[in-house]
Amino acid sequence: MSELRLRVSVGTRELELTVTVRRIEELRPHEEVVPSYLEELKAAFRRSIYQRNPIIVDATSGVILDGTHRWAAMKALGYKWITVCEVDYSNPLVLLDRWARRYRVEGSCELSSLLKGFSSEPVKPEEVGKRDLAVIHAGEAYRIEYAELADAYAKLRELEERLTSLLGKGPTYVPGDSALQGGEGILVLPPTPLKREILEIARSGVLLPPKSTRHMVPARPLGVNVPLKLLAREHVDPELLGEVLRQRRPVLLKAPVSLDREYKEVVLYFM
Amino acid sequence: MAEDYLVGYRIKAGHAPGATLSLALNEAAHELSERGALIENWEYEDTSGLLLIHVRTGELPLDEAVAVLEKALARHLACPIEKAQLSRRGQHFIKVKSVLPSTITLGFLLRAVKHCKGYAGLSAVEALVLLSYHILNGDEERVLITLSFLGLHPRDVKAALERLKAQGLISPGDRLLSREAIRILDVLIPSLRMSTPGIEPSRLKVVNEDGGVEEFSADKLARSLYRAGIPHRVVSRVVPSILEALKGREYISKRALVSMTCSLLEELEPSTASAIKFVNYVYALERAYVRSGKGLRQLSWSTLRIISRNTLEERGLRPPSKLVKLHSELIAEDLRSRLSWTPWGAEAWIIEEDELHRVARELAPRVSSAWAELSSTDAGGLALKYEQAAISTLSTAVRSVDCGERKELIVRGLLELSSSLLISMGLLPSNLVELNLGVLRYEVKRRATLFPEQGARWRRLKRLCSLSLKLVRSPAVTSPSEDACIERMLEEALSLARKLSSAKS
Repeated sequence: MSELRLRVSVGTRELELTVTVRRIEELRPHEEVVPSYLEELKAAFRRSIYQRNPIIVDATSGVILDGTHRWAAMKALGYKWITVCEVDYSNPLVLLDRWARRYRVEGSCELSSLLKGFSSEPVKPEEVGKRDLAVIHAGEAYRIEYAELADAYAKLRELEERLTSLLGKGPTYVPGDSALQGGEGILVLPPTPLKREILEIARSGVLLPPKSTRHMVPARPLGVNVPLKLLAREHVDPELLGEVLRQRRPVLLKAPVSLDREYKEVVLYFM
Repeated sequence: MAEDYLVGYRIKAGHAPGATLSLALNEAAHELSERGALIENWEYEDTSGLLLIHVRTGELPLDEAVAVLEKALARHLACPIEKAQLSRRGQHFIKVKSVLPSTITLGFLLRAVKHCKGYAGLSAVEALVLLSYHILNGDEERVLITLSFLGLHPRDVKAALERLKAQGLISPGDRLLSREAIRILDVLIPSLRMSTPGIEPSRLKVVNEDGGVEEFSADKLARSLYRAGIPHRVVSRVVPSILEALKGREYISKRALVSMTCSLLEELEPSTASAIKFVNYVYALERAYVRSGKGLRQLSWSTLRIISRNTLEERGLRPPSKLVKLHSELIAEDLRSRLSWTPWGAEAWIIEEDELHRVARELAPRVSSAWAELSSTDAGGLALKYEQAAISTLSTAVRSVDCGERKELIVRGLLELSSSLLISMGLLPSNLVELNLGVLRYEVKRRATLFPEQGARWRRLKRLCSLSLKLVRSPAVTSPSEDACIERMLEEALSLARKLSSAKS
């Protein structure tokens, strides 16, 4: 398949990005989608004539690292192909973090009753590690036992349900590293997955809850605008695609930059 | 040095049709270009209402460029425009790096990829990387991305860069070329300027900006060139060269095709007027055709010239005969176009005398924008405005780091300068730099004999004409030696323009 291979400098290192298209059913998600957001995206795709931004996938396994909702929306709308930006997932420049859940609480909450049924042990908040499934509130912390990553996220889902029903509202999502810096309310920390685990989970067809992983790719192409009519065809002509990709003139934006959201990475914006 | 910025605005979705935005930004681009800044590109995303404008500042500070943009947008859009916060500090602009070179430079590289076979022990990829390194001023990141767009694998490009460094041809620290590299490029670049004719490619399709596909036709390309006013001697060389460059391909983007054609036109008609005319033709909106019903009437050239001269003289300046010829040809071309597009091709198409005058007036700004401006400005004021714009544009050209862009700026600056000088001599300038310079050279020679007491002024003007003609005829993409020569000439031309300006005041 035709592709546009780009190499972008990130500090002293370089990252290779390949903008191309992949068959939609070849790609593997590792997270579930939020139904309401999926519907919003489907409506947006029905109005649009372009796939604006490529989704980020692992070049080797086809695992979706960023863009599960766009993939699901396009799949539901019957597109055969999707524009992707392939990266080498094993490249140390591609980072993987977790999303912590923070719940606002008025007054205090008894953690031990919240954790009823879970096998847990009290720990000091500063002892909570990257691989722990933990709950922290008002200087108290509990580490919850789990067998494997899928089990940890199943427990996380149950905790989320309990807390949402108890407090009457959902959480806000906080990047894993900054979540531990402090803040009020109840903090639920899932374990930080390993890249290997994500590949295994995706391969096995298990889906983690939405907002489980936070992939950080140090450079990304935006505004590529591949015509959706090309992606609806059974076959995509590689040379035609190559010329579509070369049609636009990119500018390099150094992070941080706010477009539709804040990007902390280098952006190659195709205009 | 010119700097690139992305300026962002939020416009309520559905309130900014593309045509309105295009009009507003064209107007802003025109005003900015007079003040030494450029709108490189823009994009509007109608779902989020985000308008991004890529601005290249030259002499004009960014805040003044932004004010011009905002005024133009406010004039045309019937809804409030909010500044989009693009940076963490809340600013609605961010500094960016333009990674692809200008259209003409990119077109040259596109053809070079096809034709470069290596030179002086360098492989084809190494020679291309060296060439790009020179053209992109030693910016390795731009070399990597630009050559990716031309179909080279970044891994091969990176490896070639490393080999060039190991051979001592390039020096990454100071972005310099060795003497040997300069010697290679001095031979390589001129050799890549021309390509050989070949056989028409089969099954070639052109992909337009919206992803639409149409069959490529050499006839259509030739017709577009002719209708854009490119002479046959040039068209007959451009079309075979394009066919040769496209041999074996199945698709080409319209942009790449136009770029390649422009870059060939640049080399064959180095005044760039041809390239600009072609681009304007290709991207012009569909023309309107008029029909009135009084029977077919054949028009003679003498009638057209009389009508043209009368129209051009209406604003008080004498049109040179070459300008009259150009204008009358344009009127004829307009009439031919109207006739060819009318669905009643076999019937006679009649135009009234008044209508012919109206067409002549309508087309006059296309051969002389000064003619149009003189409807609202007096000749003295216009000459001064052109002179100031010329000095600003030429100063920007001196600082430009892209040779294709520099060439465009040189031609524009010299067009403005020659226009200013012609107006001060009571002559109506054209929109073509070479035509203006030819008239100017003749007029300076004539007046130097009539008024020998102003010897110093005539000497400066003669030197300026000579330098200007060399500059407009110089190639756009230059070897290191040509580059140094153009820089010297450009600085001397700018200095002479400043002296002539200060001598007047």
